[in-house]
Amino acid sequence: MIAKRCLSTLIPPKIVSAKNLGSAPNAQRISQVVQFYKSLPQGAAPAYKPSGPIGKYKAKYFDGDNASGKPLLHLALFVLGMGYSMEYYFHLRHHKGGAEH
Amino acid sequence: MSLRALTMKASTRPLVMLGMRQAPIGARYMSTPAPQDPKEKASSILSALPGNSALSKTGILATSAAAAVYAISNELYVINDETILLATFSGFVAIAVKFLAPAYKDYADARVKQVSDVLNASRTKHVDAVKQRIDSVSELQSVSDTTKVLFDVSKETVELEAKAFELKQKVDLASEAKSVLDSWVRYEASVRQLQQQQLAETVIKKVTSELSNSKFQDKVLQQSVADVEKLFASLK
Amino acid sequence: MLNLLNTYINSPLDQFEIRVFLGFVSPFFDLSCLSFTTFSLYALIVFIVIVGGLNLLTTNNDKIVGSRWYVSQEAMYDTILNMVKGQIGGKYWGYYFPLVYTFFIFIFTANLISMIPYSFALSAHLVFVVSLSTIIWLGATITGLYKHGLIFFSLFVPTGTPLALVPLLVLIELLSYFARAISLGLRLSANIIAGHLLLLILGGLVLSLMSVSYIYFIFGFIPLAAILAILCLEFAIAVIQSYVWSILTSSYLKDALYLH
Repeated sequence: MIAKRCLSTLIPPKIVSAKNLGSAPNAQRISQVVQFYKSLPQGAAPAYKPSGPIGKYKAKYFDGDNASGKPLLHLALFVLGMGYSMEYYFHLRHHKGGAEH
Repeated sequence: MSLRALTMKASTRPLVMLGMRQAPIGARYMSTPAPQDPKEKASSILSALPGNSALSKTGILATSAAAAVYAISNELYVINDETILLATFSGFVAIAVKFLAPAYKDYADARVKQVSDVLNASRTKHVDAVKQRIDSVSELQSVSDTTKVLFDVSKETVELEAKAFELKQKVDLASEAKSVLDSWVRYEASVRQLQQQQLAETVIKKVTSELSNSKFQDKVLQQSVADVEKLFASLK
Repeated sequence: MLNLLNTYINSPLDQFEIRVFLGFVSPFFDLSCLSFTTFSLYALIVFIVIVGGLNLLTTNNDKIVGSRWYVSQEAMYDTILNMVKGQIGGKYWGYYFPLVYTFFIFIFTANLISMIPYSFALSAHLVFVVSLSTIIWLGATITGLYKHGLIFFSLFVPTGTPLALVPLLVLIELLSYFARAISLGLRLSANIIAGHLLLLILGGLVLSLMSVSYIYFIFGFIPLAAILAILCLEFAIAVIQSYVWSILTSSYLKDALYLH
């Protein structure tokens, strides 16, 4: 009975090894995730600073919670003003005081 | 026609007309469900304007009204067909601001919230997955100690087994020696028994052969007589 | 008092007049096509509004979650994407989506800007819009011929036609196919022209009515409300026509790509 004991039965079971650690189902993904996080910039994101008149306009009316329909109104007013002044220049000023052509 | 003509026209217009003007306005007021407080109305108009103080807001209102009056009177702004369209367009803009814009805002906010919810949910899921992985790995952090203990246990096992084997061999040897000695004892005993048997047999055989000898018979007889005499002598 | 209006007769068609801001006068070659006109100005405005306003300003600083402005762009993109996918389908719809989206966003923006008073309607100009639709039709036809060769002409013979009817049907189909070139642009342009003319004519009528006297000025608000309703309708038409243009473009492309 004793003679039958092999050497292998004396070696304790392998609880963990490098291969054993890597054989978990999501281990490969986790290592990729670690790589990904390493490549990310650390710390808080730098606050966006609007620059220039367009940037300030954008920050005021377009970005995040500031988004509003006011730019459409501004566009309408701009087109209206431009259209009217062209109309006035080409057409209406010649008819002041109800004058004919 | 210029404003001068118009003012002339207005001055020549009978006052009855001005009195009659009140009627439709009154009717319009009645049509509104709850007539607003004029002050409230004014403040709501003011609050819709840009600027901070009530003064600047009223200033803007007054300035724009004055500018409009100036533009119209100087014919900088010429009223024509498009003016009506300008009015209706302003009405459309008002409708859009009042009804369309809040509806769109709700829709857009819901959409933004939906997207951020999806992203946040996936982030928490991801964090959970990483944490789970960290936990599963950290369970294995005492693995080298455990392995060492396991090796000690198997070393002990081997030692104990060796000792047991040694003892068992000793026991085996003793029992074998005992059995050898026992067999020796048995053999000696049987040999002695055999010798005694043979001795007894030879003695008996000799005696029986002696008994058949007449000389011996005589000798025995004489001996016996002598013994009997001696007995009687002693009895006396 | 309200008789401020001019007494001269305005043609409602004046609003479509193209004025030259920067003209080229050349002795031998006609370079007037290079002139900077009202049309160019409004085309430039539309371009700036689309590229600058709708695309560059709405990016919400490249954050993952967009702003409310971004949602509008997303919604439009998604609508056209689904429409093109549904109309063209198959393997090739993705190649033609940018084209259709460009047409849609251009016509959409141009139509809406033209609704502003004193503005200018780009898509009311038949020569521009019909040229555009003819180019689309021609491009689709060339694509079909390039892809299918002579089999392309099977487009003119509906499946399951008795042989005797084939010549007649081919004639009819050919006519309807050629009509597409005009009808696509005419549909858009006629809608826009009619809308703008109607609004301006009604505006003139209401202005005349309102300038008669105070009473008429007050009563004039009733037709004014009607014009407001028509204006809302015109806004809807402006949006719908740009969508219809995109649908028809996609459907023509589908015919050329897959032959029924």
